[in-house]
Amino acid sequence: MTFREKSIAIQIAAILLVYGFYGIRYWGQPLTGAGGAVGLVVGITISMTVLTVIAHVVLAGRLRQERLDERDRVIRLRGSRNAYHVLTMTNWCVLALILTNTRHGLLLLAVLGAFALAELARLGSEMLYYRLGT
Amino acid sequence: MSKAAPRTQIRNNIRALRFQHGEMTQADLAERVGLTRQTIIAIEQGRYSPSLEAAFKIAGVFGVRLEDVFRYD
Repeated sequence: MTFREKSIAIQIAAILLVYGFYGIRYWGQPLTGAGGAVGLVVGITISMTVLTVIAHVVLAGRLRQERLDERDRVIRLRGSRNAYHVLTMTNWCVLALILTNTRHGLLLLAVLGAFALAELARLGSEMLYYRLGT
Repeated sequence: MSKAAPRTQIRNNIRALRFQHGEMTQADLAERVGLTRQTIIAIEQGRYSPSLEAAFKIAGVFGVRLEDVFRYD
């Protein structure tokens, strides 16, 4: 695998680990106030940043990163397009939860889940385009 | 190098042309046309169709016409 493919794999693993951990940990909790909702969002942000930065530092020490070229840009654009569709669909689901008066804690998890799914769609499709072709 | 099935309908003779030009490496060709080696590999295997600009640059490196490098099946 190239540097870019390994970088994508790292990001996918980090999302699954971090969002999975916090999703399970906070599932069913009220998530109100600064200690709940803010703690969840800050925790996810810091965990994702630390994990991906450390993994990329290790990766950069082992593999040389190549500059971006036209194929990389095409793959990124297509990945973002796919993520947009997923984000749109999941936003409709969140809207449905709001309209059905779902409680605050579950809504926050749904919003974060929507972001996570969109990112997984972007990264997963980029990986497929790199491996199988555009 | 694994032989992946081509996904585009653009076929090319880059591999043959590289060997006819002093066994030019994929890295050399990539450097001369401003692409990455991974992209040259993807083009050779038919997993990526290059932009028109990149296609002309590749033909220019070998000193041949565009249709001598690429063809549409």
